[in-house]
Formats: sequence, C-alpha cells, structure tokens
Amino acid sequence: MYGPVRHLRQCLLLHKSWKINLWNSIQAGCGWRKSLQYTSRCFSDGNECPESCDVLVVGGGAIGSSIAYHLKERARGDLSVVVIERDTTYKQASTVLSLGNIRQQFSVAENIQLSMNSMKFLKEVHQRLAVEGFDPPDLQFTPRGYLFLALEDYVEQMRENFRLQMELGAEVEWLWPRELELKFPWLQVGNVAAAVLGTNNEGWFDPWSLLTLLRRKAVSLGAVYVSGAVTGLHHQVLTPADHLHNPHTTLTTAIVRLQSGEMKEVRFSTVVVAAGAWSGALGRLAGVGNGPGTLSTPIPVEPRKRYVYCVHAPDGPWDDCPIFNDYTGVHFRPERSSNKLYLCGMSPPECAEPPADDLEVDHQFFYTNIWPVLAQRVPAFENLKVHSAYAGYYDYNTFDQNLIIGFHPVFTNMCIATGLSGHGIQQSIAVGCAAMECILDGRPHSINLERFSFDRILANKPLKEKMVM
Amino acid sequence: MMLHLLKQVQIIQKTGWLVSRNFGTSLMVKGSTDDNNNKKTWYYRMEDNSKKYWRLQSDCREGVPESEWQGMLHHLSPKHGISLSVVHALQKGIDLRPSAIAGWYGNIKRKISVMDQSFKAKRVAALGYDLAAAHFLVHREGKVRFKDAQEWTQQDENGEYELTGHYSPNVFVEAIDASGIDLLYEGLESMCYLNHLKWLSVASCPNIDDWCIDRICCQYSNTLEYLDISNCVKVTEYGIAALGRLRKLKHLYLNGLDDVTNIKLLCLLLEDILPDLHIEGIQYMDPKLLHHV
Repeated sequence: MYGPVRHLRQCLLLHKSWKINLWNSIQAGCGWRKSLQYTSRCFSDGNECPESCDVLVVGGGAIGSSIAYHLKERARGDLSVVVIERDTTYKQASTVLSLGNIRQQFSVAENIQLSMNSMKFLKEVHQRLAVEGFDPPDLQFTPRGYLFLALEDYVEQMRENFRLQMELGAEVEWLWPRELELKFPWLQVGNVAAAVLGTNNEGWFDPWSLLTLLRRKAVSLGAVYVSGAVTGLHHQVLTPADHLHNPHTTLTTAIVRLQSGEMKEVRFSTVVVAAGAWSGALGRLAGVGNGPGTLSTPIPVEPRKRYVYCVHAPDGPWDDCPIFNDYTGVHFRPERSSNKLYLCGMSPPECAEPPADDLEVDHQFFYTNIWPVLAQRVPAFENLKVHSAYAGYYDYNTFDQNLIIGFHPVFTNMCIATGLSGHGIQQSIAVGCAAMECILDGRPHSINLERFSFDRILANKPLKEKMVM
Repeated sequence: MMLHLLKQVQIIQKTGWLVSRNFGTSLMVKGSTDDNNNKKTWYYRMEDNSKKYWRLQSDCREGVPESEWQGMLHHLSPKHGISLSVVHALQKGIDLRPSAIAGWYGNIKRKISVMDQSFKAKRVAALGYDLAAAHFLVHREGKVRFKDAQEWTQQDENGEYELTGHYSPNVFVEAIDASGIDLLYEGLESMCYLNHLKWLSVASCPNIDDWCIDRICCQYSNTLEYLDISNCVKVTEYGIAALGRLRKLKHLYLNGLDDVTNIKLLCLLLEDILPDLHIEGIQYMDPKLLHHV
C-alpha cells in the first residue's frame, strides 16, 4: 500500500532526468548546513508544529526516537517525520526511569534476536549516532552478565531456553550448584538447582544518554520534535467506486494540544503508536477499543508501577556481581563501581499490583517482599540500608508482556510499536528498525516478527516469556 | 586502484551491517542437518537475508509484457532490478565535502578490516580453534607461543612463518602478543575457545574498548593470568571494573591509562577482589606512606 507506491515513485525518478536528481541528492547530502540549523533547535520548546507530515510518531521516548532515527537515516529528505512528545523533561517516561539493563536471555527467539541486534548497534554507536559539533557519544556501558536461577521444577524449561539462546548465538553459560558456589562465593545457593550466566554482551548502560543521542541524531537528520499531547485522531472511510473492493478506514489527522495551549491539526500519512505506557489510551482516541467488531479489542498496554530501591550494603559483592535475578522475581545489580550501592526491585504478582495513578514509592513493599529474599540469597545484604527509592512505569502488555509490532488490521496506516513491559530500552533500537521496515517495506524483514503482530491479540494467541521476566 | 576499491565495495555490499555472529550454529549442528530441514522454524537466521532486491522476480526484463512502455534504457537495466542498498544510498544524497569523502573512505577501510578479522568457520573447521587463532595472528604480524614451547612463533624479515597447515591435537596456544596488530572486536571473536591461554597482550591497539574487554573477560575467564592493556585509550572505567571476572589474573599492565577516572580506586578494588593480582603502570599506592606504617 504505502510502501510499494513509494518504491514506484523512486523508480520513476531514477528513469527521469537524472541530472536534476543528482543535484537534489548532492544538496541533500550537504545537509550539514541544515543540520547545523536543526542542532540549534535541538532542545527547543517545539512550539512550531507542521501542518502535515508523512509519518507522525506519537511518543518521543526511546522507541519513538529510535523509529524517527531509523526513518530519517534511511530516507533523508524524502520523508517528513514529526515526533510528538508531551513532556520534554521526560518526568514519567519509562525510558529515563529504567535501569538500562540489556541481556540476551529470553525464551522467545525473536526477543533474543531483537536484543542481539540492538547490542550490535550499541557497539557502533559512536559512529552511527555522532553529530557534528557535539560531544562524541558515550553510553557508559558496563559489561557484567545476567544470572538467572532456577528451582528443580523449572530446570527443564531453563534448559530449553538455554539451547535456544546458544543456537541463536547468545553467549551464555550453564552453571550447576557446585560451580555456582565456586564462582560466586558470596551467594547462598540453597535449593537452587541450576543457573544460567550470560558471559558476553550483557550489562547495563545509561538510558538517558541513549535517548539524548537518538533524539539529537534524529533532529540533525531532519525529524521535527513537537512538544504537545495528542487529544484526538480522526479517520475517514474510503469507499472505492467499484463494488469489488471493501471500504477501508484510514486515520488522517491528529489534534495536538501544544504546550502553549494552542490546538493544532496535523495531517499525516502514517501514524506510529509509540506512546509507551499510554498506548492503550492513545488507541482509544482513535477508536481501537470502543468500536464495533474488530475495533472492540483495545491495544492491551497500560501503565504499571514498578519500584526501584537504591540500597547501600557495605559488605556486599562488588566486582564480580552480575545482574542477579532470583526465581522469585527479585533482582538486583550494583549501581556504581565504588560506592557499594545496589539497585533492586521485584515484579509483584498479579494480585499485589500497586496502583498506577502516581509515582509514589511504597517502602513497605521492600521490607516485606524484597529484603527477606535478598538476605536469604546473599547473607551480606542482611545489614543493608535503603539509600533512596523511585518508581517508574512499565508499558505493560496485559496480554502477554511482549512487543506488539505491525499495522492494525482496521486502521491500515496505524503502526503499533509498544508493549515491551520492562525490556523496552534494551530492544528499542531493533524495534525502531522493525517499525521503520514496517512502514517503508511493508513488514519487518531483518527479523521475522510476524508472531508479534497485533493479530495475535485478536486471535487470542499469547506469546509469553517462559520463566524469564 | 579504482577497480580494486570498487571490487572491495562490492564485497562489502553483499553482507551489509547485519552480519550474523551466530557462528556457533554451523559448528554445533553438524550431525543434525536432517533434523533442521524437517523442523519448521518460524524464525530465520540472518544468512537468509543475503539477497535483498527491490523486485523479487528473477528477471525484470522478462516480466514486462510487450504492450507496456519500455524506456530507452530498458535493455540496459540490471537483470534483477536495483538492489535496495543502491536505493537507500540514492535517498541519502551525495556529500561532496572533503571531510565527508575522507569519512566515506575511512568507513570502507574499516569495513574491510572488520571483514578481514571476522570469524571464519572454514578456518576453524580445517585447523581447530588453537591453530586457527595462531594462523590468524601470525599472518597479521602478531606473535604466538604454544604450550611447552620456548620460542615465539612470528613472521621473519621475509614475512614467512612456520605453522602446520593441518589440524593436530594437543597443540594449544598459551601466549598471544597482539601488540602490533590493530585488533578489532571481530578479531577477538576469531580468537575464541582458546582453553589454555595464559598470557595476552593487546598493548597499543587503538581500537580496544570496553566491549573488547568484555569479550576478553568472557572468553578467557578461567585461564588468563597475564593481561597487558597498556595505551588502549578507548578503555574507560567501566571496562576496567569488569576485569574482576578474570579469576586467575596475576599480572595486569595499565601503562598510559592515567586518564581513566578513578583509576587508582579501581586498582585498589581489583586488588581486593583478586588476591594474587599485581598491577603495574599506575601509581596507586604512595610508597612513602607504606614506609611510615
């Protein structure tokens, strides 16, 4: 639909007067002049809002910026991309409040491939995201490795996951309890039956740096960031003249309320839902979730609050401490190399979900749920003190906690790229690439993500992660 | 010279930047190719993507019916249509500034060295991991010492060296001196599964950064006793902090890394974790203070 028409246009351009095209492309290549203008508007108030664009990305977090970057990287001048972000301070965005962990230990193959692709990109970030006139990119990646523990009943499932990870090229190591004791003497092995340790390409980085780099690069390539909130999405129904084709619905305009209070209409050709935790609400604005038939299924993404506690443990493990994941869901990792600070948290069970109205922290949650497990697992954590705590939202996919990528079946120009439920920042680059391929090529072709399309929600076929969060 | 460059550009465009690194696959599923063919996998690996063309028909010229308009250049158009990378390059525009041309050329040279140093499964299949790593290094003017050998194997003045060309068991690489080579991350990937490596020097390799340190820690964590990362300016404090995973490390050389933030504190903390460790190149302990104690 959209993709083949664009390709046809390029084909005709190539056969047309190549001299004019060559001059245009030289001018586009010398976009360094334009890029200097744009970099000065990098963090501007974004009060200018264009009236129309080709692709409207709703949501300027890691996923939205990554999509804007990939789109602009591929089609410099040919595609106009506008990113709408309602909070330029990113106070409540999941991106900046996340821990920034990256791992390849998943149980679904596409997740492993998404993480591996993102990791490959992150290795080359100083070439890919460098903008002239700014500091060279620095992500502060700390390689550590992820450690997952399993009880006796889950060893078989973990073994299957392990085989899949090895097959796809992730570097992981299987540890029996005896080896676990030798490798991590500070760990109380207890009744752990087996563990998997990621030996390479796993660790954590600074998510705020990644967001800034992606946004800066996207703006320097010509994407326009508008700070405002989308308050409405209009659609139109096109009835073709002949009786052979069904009428189909496309979204045409978005009503944006800018920070100054002004309401503006933006016409677009494709809209990308990358609003993170609020994608479900955005879908409802378009009619996904409160309509007849297929439109009665909403985008099943809602904000869920997760706490992160920064604790100080003077006797705790430091240098060889991986990102530790217990089978109960408790996880911790060292915060900085020298201060013996650790960041820990836990995914609560369904029944004990905290309310997601605000980002207030419940300290009792730590003392009842997290501390006992930590103290039992690592005896050095018995005398820890809570240094500080904060909360952030997961863009929680209530259906199966995995990515939803692809076009909506009814609104054929609405591309959804959300629902990553906690592993969004580590897959953001690859998801941006997949969304770009969806828009420009019709479907994501670097990784076969057809199992992650919106259709699985309509067909009620959840694709859950087994055993791994 | 231009033809040589063009040929290199062609080689690079065939693979693209999404080259898969799952080299373990082809070596692990040796005996089970039948199983793989029967098993329906709904994910596919990167190699299947090697041919990406704009039009999927075999020959565009035949697909056009006779009554359709054919341009002047119809018979001169390429058989399989234009490859997607050409379309992408045209969309990006041509930047004719001298710095951009230098950047483009540097890009090509870097891609060539990445392809040169990347893991070659055929080399390992013919020689085994240790000899493959030895050939890889010595060919690029590095030095290798085998277990139970006294001298280093390296190139002589004429560029020749003696290494067996067939797999032989019980040949293990014990020491690697890669300080003359511009070693990349992909080069470290080629030196994988060296289970007896005790001595490693990557001094003055400009492209060794935190990711490479991660790789070294992952590959040689059980056996490495001596590591020299002097003058590797791209290493930051996060990489050095991750060196704690080398459990048997006894000697660490960090000359020329004084600019790393908190380097002295990191040295002290590393000494805490690894009791036998001896660090050289950084003055993190003032000997005068020790005298007073």
